Amino acid sequence: MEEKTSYIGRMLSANARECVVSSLTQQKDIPAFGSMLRIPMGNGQPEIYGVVTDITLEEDGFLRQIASSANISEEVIRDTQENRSVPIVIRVSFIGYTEGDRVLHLLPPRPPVTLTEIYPCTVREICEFTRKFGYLRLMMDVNHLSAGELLAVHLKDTAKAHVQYGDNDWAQRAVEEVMDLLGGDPAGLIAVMGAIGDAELFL
Amino acid sequence: MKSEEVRNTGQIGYITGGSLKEGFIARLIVPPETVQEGSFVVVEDGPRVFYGLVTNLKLCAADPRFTDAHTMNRFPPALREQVAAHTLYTEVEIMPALMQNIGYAPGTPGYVPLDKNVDPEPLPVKMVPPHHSPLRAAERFDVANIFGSASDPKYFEVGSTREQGHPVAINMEKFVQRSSGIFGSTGTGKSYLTRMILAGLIRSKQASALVFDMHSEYAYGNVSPDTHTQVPGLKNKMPDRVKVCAIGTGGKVGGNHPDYDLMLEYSDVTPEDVQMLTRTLNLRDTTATTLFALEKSFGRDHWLQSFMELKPGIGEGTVSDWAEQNNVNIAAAESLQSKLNRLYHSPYLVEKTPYNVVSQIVNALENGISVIITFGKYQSELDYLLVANILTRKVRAVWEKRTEDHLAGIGFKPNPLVVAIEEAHKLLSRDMASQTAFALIAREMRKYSVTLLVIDQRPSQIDDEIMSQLGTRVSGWLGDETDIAAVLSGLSGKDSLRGMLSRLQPKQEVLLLGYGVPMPLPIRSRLYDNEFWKQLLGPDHDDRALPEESDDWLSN
Repeated sequence: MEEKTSYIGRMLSANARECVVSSLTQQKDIPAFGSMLRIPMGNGQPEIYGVVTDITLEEDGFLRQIASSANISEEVIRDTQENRSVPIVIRVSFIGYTEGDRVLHLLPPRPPVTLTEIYPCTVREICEFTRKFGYLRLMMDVNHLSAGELLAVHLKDTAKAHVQYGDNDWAQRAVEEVMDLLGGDPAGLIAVMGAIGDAELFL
Repeated sequence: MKSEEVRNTGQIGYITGGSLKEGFIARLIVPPETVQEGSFVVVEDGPRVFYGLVTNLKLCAADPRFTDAHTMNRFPPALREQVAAHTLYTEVEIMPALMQNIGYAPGTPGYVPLDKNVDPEPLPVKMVPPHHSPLRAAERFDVANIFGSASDPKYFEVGSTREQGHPVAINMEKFVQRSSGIFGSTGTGKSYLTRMILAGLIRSKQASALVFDMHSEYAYGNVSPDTHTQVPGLKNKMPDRVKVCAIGTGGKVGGNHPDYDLMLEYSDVTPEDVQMLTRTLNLRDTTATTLFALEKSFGRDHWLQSFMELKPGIGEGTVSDWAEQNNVNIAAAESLQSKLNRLYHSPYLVEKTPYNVVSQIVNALENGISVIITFGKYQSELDYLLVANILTRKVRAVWEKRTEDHLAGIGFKPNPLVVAIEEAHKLLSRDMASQTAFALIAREMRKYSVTLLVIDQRPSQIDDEIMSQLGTRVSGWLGDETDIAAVLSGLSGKDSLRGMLSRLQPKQEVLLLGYGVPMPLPIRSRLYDNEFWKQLLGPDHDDRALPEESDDWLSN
């Protein structure tokens, strides 16, 4: 049986489309760009699903001092990278929510409250949420980055999850959906397919 | 739609647009090479089906950028294939021909018994199917439903659909109700097709045929120019149903004795016959005046012999003497006599024939026996025009009288007669049509149960009015635009059919058009081989008449 994941941070701010999360984790453990996160609201409220669309590693005064030093020992660099908690801010775009067993690929009715815990999705959760493709519409509407880059990594990782559950054709169906959504935008379709091609999704 | 699903449903596409005027547009869901121009397709719309022909195929792209190989090659092969399948597609234009209310099948949702006021027969198309109506290739059942089944003796299997090979039949009863035409350039198999259609006509007993066989091919066959084997004729295969009549006396046709020798009398030749030969005999403009005077002077039955017996020179009993007495230009009369010499001395033209061959021919035709007039060595234009015109006029007169008598309550209605003429443009050209017996048949003889079967390679040379009267048209490949336009004259959808006709295979493919067929259809015509005769006459038919025949006379 698949284990539940541990929360990776708490929500700082949100609007109807996205939220910003402060990560607790060290740099090497931060969730990957394009990976799916779960935001449980509790009290019978919907469980919101989102996808990581940006990650910011912020500096503080001490880090600036170290970086401006002439000679930094290897030990200090490794200690800073591996042990020291620097502020990490993750931007998460909402791609749907669940109500009981129902999966709805729509923006959540209201954003989560601040300091809500955020969890990475398990393989099972990924597969259940992405069985249908309506959420891709929301993912492609994220406007602060290239849809192709986001889709490429998301589809590659999600396809792997579905393969684990025996669905080998998921990637093909997902690409078909993306092409349908981009039917009226040939230039966008070529760009997105270029990114998907570079992700070697079908290999 | 997945290919397996396509295989199971037979669907090849779906309707995406169109109009009654411009035809339907469908998007293919199968590879473009699986459908070709002229394909017989069916659009299903619940209780209705629409039958039509593919008139155009168009490669389309969601955007021109996807047609650029350079752009597509940027993607890995599997993705490239998927993108191509999604963005590149084929559209077909369909000329709707018929629609039919078939209702829902019993046991299916929506089933209600067909309203008594709803005509379940195929009808002209008066509505359009909705978007996404499935498109499929016509099945054997559809072809038989529309064109009829060859198992019915009234029908004759003339060929098969080009893609699926479903048999296509023509209704011989309808075929003989109006004049028809068989067209095609040289070497397209026109005479083999004619032979097969005549065989089907004779077997169907829907009419007797009077065939003017200029090149002596139809009665005893000939050597195929393609396979160099002896190809049987209608007399070889249907000796009891076909009589052969040769021009002149004592002649043999391909080593065979004909049933009759055709001799004509001088009195059979009318001034109109001579006028019809104006071009052939290089007659002057004054000929009509001279002929009028000759008829008035010597009578309709004796003008030719009396005129030709006038002597040259001056004095009593000469041409000049007759011309002076009848106020005719002497030079014109002398010139006409000189030019008529060739006609007058034709070996088959005599003062008095020993027996009346024409009545024997008429008798045979009235009894459902077909007669082939074979010209043997008399293959000149003069012989063909003169004999065909005189004989047709005489036969036509009999049919007219029989019909008038029948309408007056005397005797029986005459058996339908089809007069088949090869090289029809020689007899039905614009400058000659009004003078021949054939033009009248095409225009007016339907009520007397006489129709024409016109066989020609230059339909554009045939009088427009006669072409427009042709009901059923069967055309092989034609290269000349004017010939194509002539074949399609008077038909709806000719713009769509024009390209189809010009792109037929040079051999074995023909386009069926017009009154005798429910809708236009390009088909692969049958092979004129042993199998054809076995199917037509039954497996036990006697083919001993041909000792060394090949099994496949048109196999190239």
